[in-house]
Amino acid sequence: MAMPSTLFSFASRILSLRSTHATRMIHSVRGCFASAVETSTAAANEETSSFADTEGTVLQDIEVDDTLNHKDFFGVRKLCTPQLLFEHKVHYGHKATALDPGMKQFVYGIRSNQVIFDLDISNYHMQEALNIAAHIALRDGIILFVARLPHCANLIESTAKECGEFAHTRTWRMGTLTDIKSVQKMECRTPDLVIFPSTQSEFGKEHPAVHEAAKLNIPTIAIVDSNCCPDMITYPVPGNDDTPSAIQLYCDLFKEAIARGKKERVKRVALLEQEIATEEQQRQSKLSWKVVK
Amino acid sequence: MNSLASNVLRCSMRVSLPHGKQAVAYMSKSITDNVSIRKRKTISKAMRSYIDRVKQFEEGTVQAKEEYETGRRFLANIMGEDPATFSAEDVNRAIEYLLPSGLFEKTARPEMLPPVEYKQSAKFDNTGRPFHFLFYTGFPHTYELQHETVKRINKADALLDLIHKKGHTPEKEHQMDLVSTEWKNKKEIQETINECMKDSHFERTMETLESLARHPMSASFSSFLTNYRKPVIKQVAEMKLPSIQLDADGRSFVEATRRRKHAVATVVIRTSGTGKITINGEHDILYFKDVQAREQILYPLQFTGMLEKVDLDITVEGNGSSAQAGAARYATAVALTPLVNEDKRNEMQIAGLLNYDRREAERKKTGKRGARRSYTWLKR
Repeated sequence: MAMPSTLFSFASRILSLRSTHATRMIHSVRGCFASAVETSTAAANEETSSFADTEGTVLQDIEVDDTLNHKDFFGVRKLCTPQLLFEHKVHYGHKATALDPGMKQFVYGIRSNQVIFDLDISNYHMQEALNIAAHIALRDGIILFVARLPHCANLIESTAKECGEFAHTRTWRMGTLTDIKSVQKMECRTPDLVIFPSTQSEFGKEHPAVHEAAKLNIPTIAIVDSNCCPDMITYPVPGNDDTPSAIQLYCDLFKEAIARGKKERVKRVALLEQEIATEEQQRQSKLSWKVVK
Repeated sequence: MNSLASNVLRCSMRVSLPHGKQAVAYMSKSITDNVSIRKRKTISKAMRSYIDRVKQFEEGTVQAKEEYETGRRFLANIMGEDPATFSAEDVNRAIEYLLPSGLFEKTARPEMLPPVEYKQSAKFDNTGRPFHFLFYTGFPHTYELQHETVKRINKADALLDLIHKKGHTPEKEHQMDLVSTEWKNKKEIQETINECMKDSHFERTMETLESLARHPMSASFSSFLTNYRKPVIKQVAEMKLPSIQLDADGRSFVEATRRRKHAVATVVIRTSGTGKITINGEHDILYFKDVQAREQILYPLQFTGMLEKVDLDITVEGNGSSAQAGAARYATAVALTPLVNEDKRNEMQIAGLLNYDRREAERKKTGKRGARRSYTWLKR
């Protein structure tokens, strides 16, 4: 069957998203060279543009690629344990009749028609998710919390505000991510990571942001309950997405992970500034030496 | 890249870009050396576009200003006046004189106005990171107001729980005083939060604010709520009261003249009376045939508790009985005001006794028998 090239490339993108392991690899590598790509693009743009105010200044940014060599650079994996998840009732799924076929791999068993998640698997996925959130925070990525949980909306917004990130718990306007230019009526940066404390929208359907993020190849972390589909999610974490105590736990964990990433960033920026200052000092002393000569 | 960079290079990757240019990316080997490698920080595409737009707009403004200045000096020369002192008002006058227009619609007449300056502040920093945590919702300030309100409701609930745990009940001082202030309207709220609101968003926001204001523990959050409330404008303005006079017998009396439709009534109220009512010198209350009209005249007396305490002397003319009764009632009420205390006066105002009834007979239309009534249909 003949397939239009654009459609084919789109389909292949989606397929690559589906295979979580491959995508994870892509994103971990993407972190290394995306910044370099940006730099060169900006350099190319700078040649054509003529800003008097931005041309003269050369801004510096930190280099962070070494952090990828460690399995747990930020120590966020130690934050989450199966015991903790159990205490916050993460293992409760929905009714067995509502079980999504994609979620079978994460299920421990069924008790009185209730799905029970395997918390060892949940724990592994949660640790992965926390790690990636911290890494993206270190790289100054924009993290967006999206959920349609009226009873937890305030909590999620507060979490986003406290960790200096963004939240969207209100009515989702179509194209908020895919057509951001016309929705916001200006050129805007899209988020670099979307975190879903719940992937369900208010009518029991999948949240439209899941699809929009997938179309734009924005990595997503989502808590997927037994009645949700994990296919479009880059980093699915199987778990209960209704109970307030569980949502509180997710918010606390991600807040801590993002805080650790940002703390590391602040540290490195301070070091960089210090180094630039010393270099400048050396240069000045050399110049003065020349003048004296 | 400095010289240290070459020591820590582990691998390099070539990435081809859509522009056909190539970029090289590096991965460092160890943490200790990482800080030595630097990248050029970039300004995001979003910020770049914003800067572009501002620059374009500023250029446009400069051009418009120049054009206006040229036109102003030109008009001054034509009018034979000094260009240095030729103001914007003079420009309008000159245009009205030079280009006379017979058009009634003001917006259709020729005009020359100075360019308006307008600048929108940036919503994100140089890296394209928005300033507001609800930026992606599209209505950040509206939703922030709702968020802040709900946060305070939760706090108030916690406070209430504490009180209940101690076995007490919340007292009246714990609730905010809502009598002296009222909610701002949509326009004022929009000005406060500096954002346009949809009707549905406004309603939702006001519901949330209302539930916080009605909360038994709302007094703790009065400083937050007062931002969205305004003082009630007192309805009763300074009234001009008719003066109390003394007649030849030494009895004090008050006189007032008021009208309703085309009827005019002058009422003289004499104090320390027996409730005697005289209408046009010779009649008593039976001057009015229908009961409603009689009730109208007695109503202000009953309202103020002055029945059988004062004598009424009413002179009324014009129109029919209901208009005359209305005029008499209005005049009576006004004449009673200096005889009662301030609170009663306010009550009279609220009851509508001191308001002029502006309703009048609708004019007759041509082709109709009256205001609306058609002529009887005659079959041709």
